[in-house]
Formats: sequence, structure tokens, C-alpha cells
Amino acid sequence: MNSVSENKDDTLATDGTNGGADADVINLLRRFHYGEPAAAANTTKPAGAVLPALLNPYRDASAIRYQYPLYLIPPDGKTLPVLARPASEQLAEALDTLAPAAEDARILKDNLPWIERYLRQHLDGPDPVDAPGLFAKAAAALQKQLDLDPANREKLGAELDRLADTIAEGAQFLAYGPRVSLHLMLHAIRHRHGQSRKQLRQQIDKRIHGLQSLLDVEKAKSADANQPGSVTSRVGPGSRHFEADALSGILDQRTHGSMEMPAERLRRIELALKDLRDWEDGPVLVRFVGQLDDPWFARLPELELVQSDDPCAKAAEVFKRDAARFARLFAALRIAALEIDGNYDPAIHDSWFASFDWQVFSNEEIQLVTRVVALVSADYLAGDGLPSFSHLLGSRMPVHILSWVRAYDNPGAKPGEDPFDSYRFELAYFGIGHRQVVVAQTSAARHDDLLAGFLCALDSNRASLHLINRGTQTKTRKPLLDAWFVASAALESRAHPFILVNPDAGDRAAERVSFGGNPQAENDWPVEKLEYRNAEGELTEMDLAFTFADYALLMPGLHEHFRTVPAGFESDDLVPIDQYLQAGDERLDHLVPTIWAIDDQGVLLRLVVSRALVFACRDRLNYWHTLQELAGIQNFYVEQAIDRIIQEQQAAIDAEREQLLKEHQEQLESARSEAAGEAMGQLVDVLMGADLSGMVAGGGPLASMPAAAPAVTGAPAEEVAPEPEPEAAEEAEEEISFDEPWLDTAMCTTCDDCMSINKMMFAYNDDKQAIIKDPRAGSYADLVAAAEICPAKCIHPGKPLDPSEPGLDELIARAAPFN
Amino acid sequence: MFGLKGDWSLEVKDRYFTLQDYCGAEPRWCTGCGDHGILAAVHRVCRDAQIKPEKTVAVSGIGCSSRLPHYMNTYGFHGLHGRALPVACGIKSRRPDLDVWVATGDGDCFSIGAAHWIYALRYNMDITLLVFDNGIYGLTKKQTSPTTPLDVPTNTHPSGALLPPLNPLSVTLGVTNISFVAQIVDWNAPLRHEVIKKAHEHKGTSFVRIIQRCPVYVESIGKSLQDNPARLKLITHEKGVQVDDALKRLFPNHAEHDPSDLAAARALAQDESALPLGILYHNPDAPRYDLMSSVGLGMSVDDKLAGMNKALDHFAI
Repeated sequence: MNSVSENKDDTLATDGTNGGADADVINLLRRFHYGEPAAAANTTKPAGAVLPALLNPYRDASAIRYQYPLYLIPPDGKTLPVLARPASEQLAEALDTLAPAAEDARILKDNLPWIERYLRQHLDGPDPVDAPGLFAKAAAALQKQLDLDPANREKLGAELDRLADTIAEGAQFLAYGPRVSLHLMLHAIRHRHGQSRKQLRQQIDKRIHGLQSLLDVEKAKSADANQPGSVTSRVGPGSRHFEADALSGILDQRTHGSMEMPAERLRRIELALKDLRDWEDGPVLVRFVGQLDDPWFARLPELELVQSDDPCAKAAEVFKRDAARFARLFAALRIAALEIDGNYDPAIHDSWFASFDWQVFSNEEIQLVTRVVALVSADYLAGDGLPSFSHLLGSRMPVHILSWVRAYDNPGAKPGEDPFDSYRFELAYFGIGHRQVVVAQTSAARHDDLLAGFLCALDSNRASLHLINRGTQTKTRKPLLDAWFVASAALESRAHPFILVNPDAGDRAAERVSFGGNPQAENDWPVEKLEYRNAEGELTEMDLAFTFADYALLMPGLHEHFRTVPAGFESDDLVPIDQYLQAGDERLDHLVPTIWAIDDQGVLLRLVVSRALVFACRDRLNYWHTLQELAGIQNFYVEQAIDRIIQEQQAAIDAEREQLLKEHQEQLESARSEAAGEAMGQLVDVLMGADLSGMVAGGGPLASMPAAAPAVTGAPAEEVAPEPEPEAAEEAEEEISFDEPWLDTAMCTTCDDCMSINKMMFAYNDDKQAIIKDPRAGSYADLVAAAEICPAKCIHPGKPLDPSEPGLDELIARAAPFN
Repeated sequence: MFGLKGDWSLEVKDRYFTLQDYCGAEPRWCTGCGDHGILAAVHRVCRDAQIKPEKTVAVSGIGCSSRLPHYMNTYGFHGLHGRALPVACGIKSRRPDLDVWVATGDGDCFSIGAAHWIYALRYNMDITLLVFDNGIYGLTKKQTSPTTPLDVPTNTHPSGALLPPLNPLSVTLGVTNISFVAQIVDWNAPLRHEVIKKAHEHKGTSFVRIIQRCPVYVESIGKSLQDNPARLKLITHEKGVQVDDALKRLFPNHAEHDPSDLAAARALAQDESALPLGILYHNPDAPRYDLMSSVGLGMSVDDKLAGMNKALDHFAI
């Protein structure tokens, strides 16, 4: 940032000596602002690599650690709180756990950024990559790159192996790309539904077994079952010990009088059993409906792609079809449960199961239905798809709508129309208007918010709308900023604010709305500091708001809305756009809104913003205020209520204070009059009985007036309590003794003294500080001698390991000061 | 911005150096000599900073301390007695890209090299200057040096040094444009490492006086301090060095000292009741002569000639 400097070109005089030229310049800029074509032609569009000033430090994304690539945690049958996390965090934390001390695994810790960079460089595709495999490649590449000596190579290899063991089988790395939202949706579905499908299979098998048992019992009652041949086969290998004919006869007699199952029940059980047996556990967990014709997704067994021009309508159709299939299964399961327990009552249940469909599924059942996700464009939702979109949102079907939103654009604009010509169609607000829908406006740049939206929708039985910004730019040859930063800028500039509405959380907005993730949510715009060198070369700082206009500058297609203020030109009429938006109407005619930008040479530029873009900024700000109020931030009603309560409280406090003052005043007056009366009485008493002959000027006798209390009463001085005795003696520190020899390595001065005594017993660590390598590699005498000579006194011999060593008594005595 | 965390800068090194990469020949210092620890600290600081060995130069004069360049696997210059600093300044002027360390001793620096010492400090080139002060000429077997304490007998003064020892701290703190002054003892490894690290990070001449034991000739100097830590005063500050509580417990005297306060640094330096240990003074903004003397290094000979001719043309008749 320090390399940023003010534009020093002073071709335009700004010292007031060239007032006419100044007026011309500001008029020209003002005319551009108002949209005059001639002024636009005579002013300069920002050219080259110009970025909003606050984004200048992020030009080189390769040198910045951000949330991607992600480490996708594989499903393990449990409900995990975190499904994905930045790979850098995952590896660093795993390594810190393996090697908590700063000096442990130092080479690997120092080179973890290298591995991070390798992962990023080799995750150039848009799809996830097997994490253990890629990490193994990174580890091998690091070894090759460092080309260490054999000892360090072996040590690093062991550290890499331990770190590799922390990467779970099935884990994946995912780089930031245009399809991360699809991958994360799929990842969330795998976590939520992979396991429940397995449990469904177990439940089906259990019910099949139960129904089959019922049928077996029924079959056992039949005459055929008691035929000698049948008896022999049922008894099995032991049948040779029985007389099958006799047993058949006995069984035949016993079955007389058995109640046979009613034919209707038998048929119901057989039908339910058939439905359960016919159920196929397809691998498909989710169907993506839309225009996604992609071989990568097409080969995933858990995903089916359904092509459609009207994805919302098609998604509803696909869901109904799936739901009908599941309805047969769930009905069969329920019938099986009732029959097995003997609770099926045709009078109650027949009509219930005759119309059993997804509308009566339990929460658990509806969670098992194959998920349907409509992939749609924002233009479709706000355009031709609007009827089916709205219908789906109101349908109660738990279908998910996933749309990628261009934050700079207006999905409501017709093709070829300027997006700033009309107020923006806010799809999220449209979804919120349907009231019973999960609405998540999130960003692919924030995987945790994105996943939170997905999981909220998957755990709900409602339709959901996911509006996701990916950092798409208008057409440009070479983006100046990585897409992740563009998407983040959309979030920062209120172009695409984060909001999650979960109707399951309650009926009130305060319960439903999550607004976390928006930077400085209490402000109109986030404000950050910009450091630069002014024309005098001094390091200067200014607060800059990051507005929608700053975000718009990231879009080369919108550069028409900006004009560069000539270098060196200054005017009080040029104001930052955030201040312009707050200015009163009477000033707006004079002011010209601007933003600050920086070119690729690090020069600070000022850009005038068009009136059309200012309208768009007002529109975005208005929407931001609406969302703030929904989230209970800067809520006008709340602020009014707070003001009212403060005023009421203040009034009550003032009244009480007034009352107290009044009472105090009255008491004071009363005390004064009483004291004056008493003093006067005493004075009269004194004067009446006084000998006035000795009175002299100076008021001496008055000093003996009783009103003047003596400074010290005649009361006997209390004995001064003696200072508490200091604690008799601080408890002596408990002496620490130990048996094992110990060396305080951090204090070692590397003097070589101990090495010269015994190189087998002492060794240096990676920091060339001594450790006790093998206490048995020498005598206790060596240890004691080393402790004595050690200048840092950091060797502590402990107790002798070999009781037969000669002269131990003397050695123990010598060792004592060091233990 | 962007919710980036504190460690958002991804700094990747394409080469990695272990401690071994900085180790040169096997040190020949006596066993128990404090120089071993200083060398180890220098190796560690180089390793931690991952400075390239081929971009590092160790310069020395004459004396025990001055053997250090032999033990560094970097470029080195074992120079003339007292002249380590002129050589180092020359290197820095012509090759400002190199990391320059100077190892010198109390005799080499404070006596025969005193003039260079003063001017090198004033030039404030980006050099890490380590003075191994054992209070004796050890290499030549025990002659009085400028910092030999009173009454310590030597071969040149068998009945003990006659004059009070030089106070290198008060001298350095009196030099114009001084930018970094610190003092440590060789036997406290954590403090030694921390101060040398800070000295190396400082952009300017970092003067570090290291009170160093010579167990062969004047064991009493180091031993008297080791046995009586009350003669030492640990100075810490958020702008200087900070140490953990365990280390503080080793020092009965401890003071907070702001190293930007030159007057307070001078007072500490002159306080004879205790030797201050830590960073006494640090001014990161002092002018650096190496930035001035290296201007125009990229110019070709022709450009230089043209420039000189242009300048001389001003005087043409």
C-alpha cells in the first residue's frame, strides 16, 4: 500500500490563479455526470488496469491466502458441524496438533505455504480432486524441490507421512471456480442423505422379513404344508429320525380349527411385500434440472441431469414423479409396520392409504425423497420463468432453486436494456415475499455461508431459493482481479448482500433472518483505511467507503459510467459518492460524486460517477436498508422506541432530581434556621453571663464558642492497631526433585562443554542446542561433571541410573545443587 | 477486508535452508567459549529468516571473535585488525543487496578499530554488528583490552588493569545518527537469540555488545556476573524485546524501557549499578548512508562518463 501515491501531474493549476480553467473543468465533469454526450466525449474514461482504490492490494491473488482451495470432509455417517474448511487451515491445524512445539516439524511448518501453493497451482480445474492423492504428489514435489541432505530429507519425509495420515480417505480439495456452488450442494446432499438412504434400506429389509414371517405362519396353516414331503423338508436333516407320515397326520389334525388370515389382509400383505421387494436402491441422491450438459457431472452415479428449458416447472414435475414412487414405498412400509404389529384397521387405514401421497409424508420420509435442484439463470427467474418460479415457491414442494446472480446486473432488465435504467428486480425479496420459502442470498466466495444456506434448505421440508454470486465480470480480456475477490467485493459493496431467511425458525423476522457475514452491517457501506503517499511524499491515510460504484468499476463493461478527474485538479465540489448520497437536495446541484481508484503504476486517481450509476447506488442502498430493517439493524421503529424510552426515562430522572433538590433545599433552609436560632440563643447566653472586661479585638473569646467543635475530642486515643504481622515467613518453595536427568535445552548456550565430556550422552538439536540424547551412554560422573561445567547451568543430573557406579555418594552430593 | 485472516499473505520460499546450510568449518574456539553460542544464534537467525547463503557476507577483523566468517557457509572476509567495519561498509555500498554481518571483539572494535567504529555507527549502513566482548585479548593470550575491568590481572598489567574500562554503550549512544544499540550476555540463550534477531531485522547499523565468557584467560569476568545476576538488569518493552516470565525470573532486576527514548537509554548505559540487557535504543528512521552511496549502481560506464562530462561542462570556458 505504501507504494500508492497521489497523482503528481500538475498540468492544471489549482492555486486559484487559473479560476477560469478550473470552472471549465468542473463544469465539464458535472455535465458528464448529468449524462451530456458531448461532455462524455470530451472527458477521459478510466483506461488500463484501474481498480477501486481499496482493492489495489489484491491484484496478485497468488500471494494471498484466502478461503479456497477447500478441504471437503467426507461423510462418515454422522452429522458433522463443518463439512468443508480452507485447506490451509486444515493442514496447519493438523500439523500444529502433530507438532505443537514451535521447533517441532520445523521444516514442514516453514514449507507449508509451498504445499499450499502447489495445491492451488494443481487445482486449476473447476472440479474437486482426491485430496490424499494430490497431497502425496505435493509431498513428493516438496522433497524434490528442497533437495535436503539425507538426514533432513528423512525427517521431512516422516513429517509429511504423519500429515498425510490426517487427510481422510475420500476427502477432496476444491479450488475456487464457476461450479463450486454445485459441488458444495452435492457435497451437502451426500452428507445429509447418503447415510439416511442406508438406514432406509435397513428398514425395508426389516419390514420384508416381518411380512414374510406373517406369510410363513399363514402358509403353515395350510393342508399342503402338512403333507409328509413338506414336513420332511421343513424339519431338514433331522427328518430321518421322524416318521414323516405320522407327523403329517398329527399336524393335519391340529390345523383343524386354525383361523386362516382373511383373503383381503393376505392380499394387502402380499402387495406391500411386493412393493418393498420391488424397491430398487438407486444410487441417485439428487436430480439437477436445467441446462447443465456437463460430462463431469454426468458421470456421477448419485446425480442425474434432467434437461429443461423451464426448469422450475420441470423440477416440480420431477419431484412429483419421485414423490409418487416414494409414496408407494412409504405406504408399504407403514402398512408393513401396522400389519406386523397387528394394528391395521381397514376401516381407518384403507381410505388413508388409498390417497397416500407426498403431502402427508412425515418429516423423516420427505427427507428421504430424491432431492431436486432446479438450476436456473436470474434472467429466467425474473423473465419467462417467473410464473413457474412463483408457482414452485408457493407449492410446498421441497424443491431447491439455485440461481447464479450477476451482482452488477438487473435480472429484470430486458435483453439489450441498460441495467441502470430501471430499479433492480431483487429476487431474494421476491422469494421472501412468498413467506414460507427458505431464501439464501449467498456468495460462492464464502463457502461457510453457502453451506449454511444449503444445509438449512436440506434440513427443511420447504422450497428453497439460493441466489449465488460467483464473481462474474462483464466481458474482459484479462480480469484484473481473481473471481473470488470480485465475488467478495460484491458482498462488501452491498451489491449482493448476504441474507438467510429460514421460516422454520419462527414466524417473526427476528427469528427467521440471519444477516451475519455482511461486513460492517450497521453501516451504509463498509469503511476501510487507505494509505498512500501524498504529493509531498508523506504517508497519508484516508477513510474510504466501499460502495456499489466501486464495485461497478470492476466491470469493464460499466466503465462508461466513469470519467477521470484531470491530474492535479481539485475542487470542493468533488465529493466521495457516499457523502454525495447523504447530502441534502439543496447541495446536490453543485456537487459531483466521485470514487477513488488506483492504476497499475500505483497512482491514485479520482473518477467522476455518472448520474445513472448514482441512481443504481441509491437503489442498492435502499434495498440494503430494507434488509437491515428485516434483520433488526438500524431499524427505524426500534430507534424510535429507544428514543422514546430514553426520553421517558430522562424525564422521570429529571422529575426525581427536581424533587430531591427541592427536598434538599427545604431541609437545608430548615437546618440553617435551626442552627441560627441555636447559635443566637447560645450567643445570648454567653453575652448575658460574660465578663466583657477582658475582651479584646480579634475575636479571641469567640473561639471558645461551643459551636466550634474542637478539632480533637478529649476521648482517649484509641490504641493504634498494630500493623498486621507479615506472614511469618513465606512458605518455602516446595523443593522439586526428580530422578531422570534433564537438560533445559532453551537455555543452552552451545558452548560445547558437555559435548567434550561425552558425545554419546549429549547431542545438539535442530537449533544447535544441547539435549540429553542417551543418559545411559555414559556414567553419572559424566552427567555431574557436565552440570558443573555448563555455563548456563541448564544440566540437571537427576539421580544415578546405575547404583553400582563407584563414588556415588560424592557424586550425588555434587549433583545436589543442580537438581 | 474480504474477511481475510491475519495470515492472508501467502509467502512461499522456493528454496529452503536448514541450519546446516549456514554452518562452515568446525569451530576452533576453546571448549566452553561463549563464541560458540553466538555463532549458533547467528546460524539460527539466518535459518529463521531464510536468508540466502550466497547473499550473505560475514566480515571480521582480528581476534578470537573474528574467526566467525570461517564458520559460516556464506561469503566471508577475514580482514585486518580493526578494519572489519570499513570492509563491511564498502561491501554494503557496492552490494546493497547483500546481508552483511560483522563479527568483531573488544580489542578489534573498541581499540584499534575505534575510529571506524564511530564512523560506521554514524553512517548507519544496514549491517549487523556483533561485538564479542570478553574483556581480554584472548587470541594473543591475555593482554588488557579497553573493557578489561579494573584490577583484573593480565600479561600486560600483571597487577591488574590500571584504568576503568571503556563503556561501549555510552560511547555508541553518544554517536550522531546512532540507530540501534543492544547488550546481551552470551550465556542467556533465549535473550541472546531474540536480540540478535531484532538486530538483524533492523534496517541500519545494529550495534550489539555481547558480554562473552573467556573461560581460559579471564574466567572471573563472566563467572562473577553469572554468580551475581543482581549486577544485571533485564530491560524489556513492546518496542524492544519481550520475554516470558520464566526468563524474567532469572533476573532480579527488571525494568521496562522504551527504546525510542535516547535520554533514558543513555541513563541506563551510564548506570554503574547494573548492566542493562536488552535493546537500549532503536530508531528505525535514522538516515542510511548505504542508500545514498549506492545510488547509480545500475548505470553503465558510458552513462557515468556522459554524466561526468555534463557536470564538467558547467565549468568549461
